[in-house]
Order: sequence, then C-alpha cells, then structure tokens
Amino acid sequence: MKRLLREPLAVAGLLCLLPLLAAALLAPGAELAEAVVAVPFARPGGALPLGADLAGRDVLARLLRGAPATLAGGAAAAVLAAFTALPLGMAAAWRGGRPAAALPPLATAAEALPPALLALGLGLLLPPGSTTAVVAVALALWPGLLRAGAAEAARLRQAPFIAALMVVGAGPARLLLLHALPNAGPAVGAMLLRALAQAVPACALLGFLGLGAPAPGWGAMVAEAAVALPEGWWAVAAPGLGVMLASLGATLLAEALRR
Amino acid sequence: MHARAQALRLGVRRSPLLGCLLRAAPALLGTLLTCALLAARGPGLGPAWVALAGEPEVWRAALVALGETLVLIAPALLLAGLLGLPLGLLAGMGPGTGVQALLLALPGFWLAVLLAMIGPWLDFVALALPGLALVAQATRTAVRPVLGMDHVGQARAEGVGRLALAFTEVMPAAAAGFLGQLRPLPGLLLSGAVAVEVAVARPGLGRFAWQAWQGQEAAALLAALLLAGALHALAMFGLDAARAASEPDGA
Repeated sequence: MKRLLREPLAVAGLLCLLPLLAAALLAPGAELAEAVVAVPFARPGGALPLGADLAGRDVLARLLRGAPATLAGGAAAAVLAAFTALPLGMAAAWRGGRPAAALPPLATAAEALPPALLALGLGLLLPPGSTTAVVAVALALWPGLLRAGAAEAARLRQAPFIAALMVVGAGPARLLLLHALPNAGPAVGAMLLRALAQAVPACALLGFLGLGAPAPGWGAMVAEAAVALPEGWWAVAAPGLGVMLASLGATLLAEALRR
Repeated sequence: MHARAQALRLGVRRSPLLGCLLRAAPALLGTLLTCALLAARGPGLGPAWVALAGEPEVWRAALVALGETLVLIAPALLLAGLLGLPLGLLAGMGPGTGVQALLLALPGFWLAVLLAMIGPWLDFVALALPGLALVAQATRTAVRPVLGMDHVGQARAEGVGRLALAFTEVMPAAAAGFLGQLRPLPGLLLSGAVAVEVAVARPGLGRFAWQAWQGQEAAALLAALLLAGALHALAMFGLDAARAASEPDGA
C-alpha cells in the first residue's frame, strides 16, 4: 500500500475517486434532489454552485443523489463480470490443453455483438433499470476479463518459482491456490479497476439511452438536460464530468497497480 | 477424429486466411445464437424471428441506417488513425499514459451532446476520440518491445533520425502486434455510434436499433443486431487477416 501511494499515478487516481466516493456516501435524500429551488436553468453561483436544471432543481444535489446509483452500478457490473470470468479463464489456462484452447473462440462468441446493441437486445427481455444495466455491462466486460484472466494464469504458469515447485512435486491444485493466486493479486486488482473504468461510462450510457438507472442517475441526467441545449449546459456538463472522473481515476489506479 | 483435427491444423498452418476465417466464425455464431435466444425467450418474439425473413422493408430500412452509420464511422476512423498513430509512437518512445487515459475516460454520448452545441457535423469527433485513445494505446504497446530489437539499435547507432526510425524500422516491425491490439476497435466504434446517433438524432443503425427497442419492434431490432453482428465479425476478420499478412512468417 505504501509503495502504491508513492506512485504519482496512484495518487492522481485516488484524487479522482475519493471525492466521488465521498459524494456517494453523503448522497442527500430524494426530497432534496427533487425539490424545486430556483427558476429553470438558474446559472451556477451562490447557493447553487452547479446551477439549476430545466425544472429548477439543484444540479449539485441531484449529482450527489445520483452518485450511488451510477458508481455502484458500475462497480456491481465489474465485480459480477470479474467473479464469473476470471476464475473460469484462469482455471482453464492453468489446466492447458483443450480447456485453454476453448477460451479464445468462447470469448469471440461472447463479444460478437457490440455492447450497446447487446444491451438494447437485452432490453427486449428485461425491464429498464439498474439491474438490466448491470447485467448488460457485465456481459460486455466478460470476454475481456476472461482473456485477461487466462493471460495472467499462462504468465504465472511459466514463472520460474512455479517450475521449481513442480520439480519438488507440488500438485496442480496446491500450486494454483497457494502459490499462483496470491501472486496474481495486483494483476487481478488492476483488471478489476480497468473493468470499473469501462463499467461506469457504460452504465451511464445505458442510463442515457433509457435502459439503465433513471434520473438522477448520471446518464439519465445528461439525457434530461440535453433536450434544452444550449441553454443550461452546466446541467449536462456536471454529470458527464463525474463519469469521466470515475473512469479516469480507476484507469490511473489500475496503471499504478500494474507497474 | 484425431486425423481430421490434424488435417485441419495443417490446413490452418498452410493457409493463414483459413485460420482467420476459423477465428472469426465464433463471432458470427455468437450473433446468431444471441438473436435466436432473444427470439426464443422474449415475449412474442418467436413470430418476429420468423417474420424477419418475410419483411423486406425492415431489412431495407436497416441497410439504409447501416449506410448512415458507416458514413459516421469512416471519418472517425480516419481521424483516430491519423492522430492516434503519432500520439502512440510518441508515448511509446517516451513516458506517458495520462492523455490516453483521459481520452478513454471521455463518455462518447456526453461529448456528442456537448459538441452538437458547436455544430452537429462534429459528431464524428465524439466517436473518434475514444478510438484515437485505443489506437494510441495499441501503438504504444506494440512499439515498446520493438525499440529493444537489434536492428532498431543498429539504425539508431548509424544516426537514423527519430522520425525516419519510427516509420522505417519501428512501425513495420510493430505492425502485427499493433493490429492484434486493435481487436476491441470495431466494437468500440459500433457501440459508440449508438451513443452518438441517439445523442445527435442521426438516423444510423444505432438510432434505428434504439427506436426499435423503444417501440418494442422485435423484428427491426433483430435485423439491426444481425447486421451489426455481421459487420463486427467482418471487421474482426479483416483485422486478423491484416495481422496475419503483416507477420514476418505469414502465420
């Protein structure tokens, strides 16, 4: 942890993510986020640091209220994809032979449809909302994580310390569970963070399309305010900047962890 | 069975194109399987799947929309390539991840909405920026191992300039790795096109699919998914074939 905090990329990543996490924890109640407090599209300043939206609601209060839905949706999708794809990819690549050979075509088949179109297809089966967005984004992340897990297991299998343990007679399960997996920690952490960096904008996009979390989810907030542009551009800019900051922070932290 | 597998392996080794086709086949299979699943599981979708074959106007509208999407993607791809390659080369030959991380973090739909304020024709820029980041990242990843190769060191010692070194020694040797890294690009562009088309009300395949979802028109949505899946598979095949052709041994 101390080594990580000495990395400028990690510090920059944390500086992006910590205010967003604080915003998610301090999210105000629904009544504050929905209260009409000013005239429509009141300019930023004074009591309204981020201005008001087209209904005269405080953009900052709505941004804070929407933070948990957007960030938790992205995190849930990343974790769901990682917990299903990484063990499968790692176990198959560790085993080698036919299971490992089956991984590339499986990943190619799973990523056959571009993510946003797959999500629209899924929208025929599931009602719009956070759960649909989480499932759709997890499905989109799955092939990349399957490949990343397999690559990490293949890398560890070739490591000299694993070869040495094989020589002294350590079994495959013991090798994987006691020696390979603990050494995969930073790489798995980086994969999770990279998945989070993709999942947050993807969840926001589905919100924007009407498939994901409703307003004040950040994607839906952009869709709500976009109809009146160029008036009230701040109501569009603020949630988009939040999404960008979350994705940038997770990417920088992943890069620092990978080094 | 064993002999057949061995013959197939031999054929793939002799013909890289056959190998590319076999690698792209699961993508088509995945599209067909997903659409079949949607048709089978969705309420009232079974008849839509059947009706799809007999509804030429749905296909005609989807094909027109696909043409619009290609008109959006082409300049975005050009811009991403023209700016991403030199950016990636610069990053590969020195330190730097910040710009790529920032460009990859930009939500395309948000950027499209904001750029539409300046001019709706700027929509391709919103699509190009994440593509540009991916191209730059792919270039950087492919270039780094090549920089340590003997022939690059020798050219450097002979006094070959930085720019000439990049284009005559580094890029040719890094081409296969670069094309291999571009695998997510077709999906990124097609998915980004949905966001941009909905954001700026451009009548492409993404907007066509979105409107079909909104109106729960299963036949139109399935047609859009099938066309997008086929285009995606074709693009992946093209990338894979280009990668195979650029490998020194043609593998």
